[in-house]
This record gives sequence, structure tokens and C-alpha cells, in this order.
Amino acid sequence: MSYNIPKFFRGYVRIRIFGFQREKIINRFATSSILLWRIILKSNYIEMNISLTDFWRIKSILKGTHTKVKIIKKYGLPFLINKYRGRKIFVIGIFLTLTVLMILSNIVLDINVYGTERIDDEKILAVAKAAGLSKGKPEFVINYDNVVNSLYREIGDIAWLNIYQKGTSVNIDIVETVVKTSESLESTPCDIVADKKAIIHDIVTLSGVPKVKAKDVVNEGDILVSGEIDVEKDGEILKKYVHANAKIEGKMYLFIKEEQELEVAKKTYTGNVYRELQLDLHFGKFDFIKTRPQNSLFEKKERYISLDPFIKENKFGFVLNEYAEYRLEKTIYTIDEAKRRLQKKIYENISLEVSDDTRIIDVRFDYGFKGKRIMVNGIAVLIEKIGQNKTIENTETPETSETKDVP
Amino acid sequence: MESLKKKIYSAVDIPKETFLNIPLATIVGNEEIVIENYKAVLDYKPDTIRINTKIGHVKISGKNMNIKYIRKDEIFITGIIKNIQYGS
Repeated sequence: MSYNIPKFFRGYVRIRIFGFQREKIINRFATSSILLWRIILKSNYIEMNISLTDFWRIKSILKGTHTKVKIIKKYGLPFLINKYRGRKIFVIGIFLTLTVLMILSNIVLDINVYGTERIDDEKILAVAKAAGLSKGKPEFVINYDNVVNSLYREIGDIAWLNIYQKGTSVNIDIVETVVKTSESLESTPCDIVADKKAIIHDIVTLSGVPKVKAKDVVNEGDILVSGEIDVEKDGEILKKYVHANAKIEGKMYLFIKEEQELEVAKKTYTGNVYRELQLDLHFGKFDFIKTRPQNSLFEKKERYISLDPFIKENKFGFVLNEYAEYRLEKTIYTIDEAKRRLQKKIYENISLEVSDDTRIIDVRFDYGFKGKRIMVNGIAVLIEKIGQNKTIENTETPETSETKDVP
Repeated sequence: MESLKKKIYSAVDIPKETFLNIPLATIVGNEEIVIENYKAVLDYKPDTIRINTKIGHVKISGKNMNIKYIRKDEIFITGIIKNIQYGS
């Protein structure tokens, strides 16, 4: 069995020799240094395997012996090549397919990021791309150590990182750093500063020294409650630093503008959807299939099927267009109806702008008209919590949290 | 001359089959036998294979005897070997 592979490459045949004394045939071949194997003896013939090169020699050896040689079966690469010599394109195609398969299996086709909660995946992919890891790159040119170092350097919240290949995908496993718990935060000396411009509505200080009172106007960054306390001890004024804590509410004004047409054309879909196919060859688009009727209104949805997975921009592939037919129907609003619609829009915009714990005290509307259009300037009066902690740097005597009230 | 050669080779410890063309039979169990330095195949039957060597005939008898491969200087026989006889 171990010598069958070389024999396959050289080619061999199984022959049947009729007539003559079988022992003499074997001896003649053996003395001519011809290797015979799988010799089977039958009543009137002998069968054996012989190599292709030796087969051409047996004619001269068996000359004059009145024997008949018959080839029963042919084995080996020479016969295979001969069989497919008229199908060169087929053989070349198989070879090319295998080559392309080998090349593509060594290219990065996908990059996956796992384990991220706070860190944006796009940022990780952008840093990895700058370090040399991106889709479409051969795996042997990527320096994974460089990518790992770049990620640690550029993104500070990574505690542990692993990059490994899985087939044609590259997986990035990340463990993020642990965010400080509130227990540790509450021991840090800090001030409370305004995070937006507002009028102080109410302030209840639990810890620290308040610097503002109700009806004061504050700008973003102004200190509202200070964590620095002056303490008198043995006739000396000492600085003491605490974690400032207070409930501060501020009043703000939100300005929103909206417009509404008194005559509106509304789309009503007929339910007919037409699909068309185009071929995009980068230098131009060519229509394959066109089905939609002319003189109708359509809303188009395009889907690109790229034939080149390595190029991000859609430049080579099929474009499947879906056209949804619609009719325009005119709707005329009265002024009151238009105003109601505008107010609804204003309230929707306000809810998008503010957080859940914001109270809307009042909304005022100021209407104006321009032709067939009605406009409104909305002013919303809001009360919401303001203030964010800001750590006090370079505290000489840091204190743990004290929650007693300081006037 | 032959006996002198034998004496020299045994003194120097050279294998006899290499220089004296004496047949070398390697038997594996009772199923395989390889004979090197043979001259010709005299008889080939399913129950008997007779081989001519320098020292005489070697008759291998058994059941389902078959020559697996044959070369100029080596013959490989398989089958159920029952008897190996050396004769002139």
C-alpha cells in the first residue's frame, strides 16, 4: 500500500496474458528487471499489474512466444490526463477554483467585537483599522501585536484584550474596566457645578457650602455648592473638604419653532409595488428589468447587492429598486385645526428635548401667518434638576464623607 | 574457491547472501515469505510454488499460494504456508 501513490503517479496497467507457460512468462519478466505484482493464476491465462513504462517493453520480451496480451484496466495519472486532455478549461477551472478558495480562506472577511458595553464598537474597529486590521486584508500581513498595543493605547477603558482568528473571521474579545462604585465616589471631595444655564428655582443643601440661592441666574460651570469648608480650630482657620451633596432645581426656557401648511398633499399608497433590477458597473448603471408604468408617482427603495465584498462603497453589483405607487390627496386644514396640529408638534419636540424628570410648568404659543402657512414660536418653561459633581483637585486634608448640614 | 570465500566472509562477518548469492528467505508467520537471490520460478500452482536457487530447489506448499510481487532478485509469496522443502 505504501508504494501505491508513486505507482499512481507513474501509471500502471493490469494485463492478462493468454497462452505460453505461465512460469516462463514470469521468469522472463523478472530477469528483464520488470516488477510484477498482484499476480493471479487462472487455468488458461495469468493476470498481473505492470507499470506503464515496463508495459512497452513486454512486446519485445514476448516476441515469438505466441502469447496474447490484453489490457484489462488502466490506473494512474497519465491516463487521467489523457482522459481530460480535451477538457482543458474544465481542468483549469478546477485548479483556479481551488486556488481562489485557498486565497480567500486566508483573507479576513469579518471582524467581530465581543464584550463591549460602554466602549463603542465603531471606535474599536477604527483603531484596529489604523493599526492594520481591516476586512479584505490577507491574514499574514496583519501584525496582531501592533493592533493590541494600539487598542490599549488609544482606548483607555480596556482592562483585558484578546484578538484571535476563527476561520476567515477575526474576533476581538474585550473586558472593560470597572466603573467606580457610588461608595467610592461618595468619599471623594467635590463641588456641585451647574451643567447648564438656568435660574435657581430651589436649593436644598445636604453637605457643603451653598454659593447660590433661589432666583439667582447661573451659567454652565458656576459653582452651586462648594465642598470646601472653613473650620475654626484653636483660633486657626483650617480648610476641610467634603463631598458636596444638594438637591438643586433650575428654571429654564426652551424655544421651539414649527410651521404648518394649511393645504397639505398627503400620500396614499395604492398597494402596488414594482421591482426593477439594474447592473452597476461603476462607470454606469444598466437597466435589466423595468416593470413600473409611466405617469405614476412612486416612492423608491433601493437595495444594493455588491459583487465585491471588499469595497465599502457600492460601486460594482446589482441594484434592486422597489417602487411603491402612491396618489397625492389634498387636505385643507382650518386655522384652528392647524393650530392644534402645531401645538401637538411643539409638545412632541419638547418631550424629545427634555429628560423624564423635567417638569413643564407652562408653554406659550405665538402664531404668525405667511400666505398659506401658519408658524408658531413655542416657549416652554421647564423645571429640572441641575448640577453635577466636580472633583476638587489637590486637597491637602481629604476627608471621608460627612453628611451633617453646614450653614 | 567457494569454501575459501566462505571462510573469508565468515572471518570478516560479511552477510553470505550479499556476496555468495545464497537465497535468503524471510518468513512472516505462516502467511508470507520473501525469497531473495532466486534464479527462476519453476512451478506456480495454487497449492505449490517451486523456485530455483543457487543451492537447489525450494518448494513451498500450502493453500491459496499467490505471488504478490516479483522482481529480478526478490519474490514475495502469500498464502497459507504449510511446508517449505529444500531439494536439489
